[in-house]
Amino acid sequence: MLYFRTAAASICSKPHILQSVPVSVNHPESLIPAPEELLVQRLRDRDEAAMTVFYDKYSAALYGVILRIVKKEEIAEDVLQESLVKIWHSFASYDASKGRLFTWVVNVCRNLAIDKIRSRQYRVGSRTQPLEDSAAVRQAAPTGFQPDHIGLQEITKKLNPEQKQVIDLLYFGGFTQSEVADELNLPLGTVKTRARAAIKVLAKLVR
Amino acid sequence: MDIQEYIESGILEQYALGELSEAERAAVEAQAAAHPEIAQELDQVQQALGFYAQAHAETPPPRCVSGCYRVGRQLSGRKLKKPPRTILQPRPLHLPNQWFGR
Repeated sequence: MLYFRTAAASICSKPHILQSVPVSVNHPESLIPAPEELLVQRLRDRDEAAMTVFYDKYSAALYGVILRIVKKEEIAEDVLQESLVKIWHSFASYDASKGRLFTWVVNVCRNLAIDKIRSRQYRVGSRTQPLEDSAAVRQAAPTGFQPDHIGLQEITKKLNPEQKQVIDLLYFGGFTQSEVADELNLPLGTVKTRARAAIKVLAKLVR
Repeated sequence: MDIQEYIESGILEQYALGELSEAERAAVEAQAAAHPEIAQELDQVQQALGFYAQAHAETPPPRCVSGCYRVGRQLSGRKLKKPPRTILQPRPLHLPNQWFGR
């Protein structure tokens, strides 16, 4: 990333800085703070230009999640904008010791999107409308897919349909585990088991 | 407390999905701070969900991008000279590994 290279170049042009940083042979990249740490620091310092970097890095992932939840592009765009405002204004409440930046920001977006589908104008429509009907699913894979990026189709192949149903209702439907149990007429224990199993499958794919 | 039982209770998933109250969240965080196994499991759950989220990435339409830029201008409270090129042409996202560690 350009941002990363710029940071590297600025450090390398100041050799005296290198002397104070322990050099790891195995991890030469540890000379430079990870891009995420730099970004967090800049946002903490209220560096407005860092929002551009932030947008570059996360907007597609955040928009994708929001779209899956609200199912309508126009609403998704509004929610993404609201989310950016909220992220900027409440950045002080992000605590890096509790999780990665993406975990925090995606939950800000999920919460706003879920609030939106629970609001009055949404209650008319069905929250449980199958996800397969949504525009998000019909769309082709996002452009710029990386060859070594594991795609949604592949992930879907690894999750069994029951696991996928539960995880989608929990993550994109805004349902709690008990609500999923009611919705699917399943014991709560079964829902918990499926959710855990789904997350285990996903955790394996992360590595 | 039986750590394994705690992990298998599903509370970490509830935490990661945002189902818990403020007090319940604080309790989970205290457990994670006290028990490295719980912290590790919680991290895995969060990474797994983040990975799933990222798999659904979609580039926002251009009108949304310019709207977001407007938002950025409002936030900064002043006019930027010209829109940064990066905002007009968002780059595709990189690999999840970059964000989620490992």
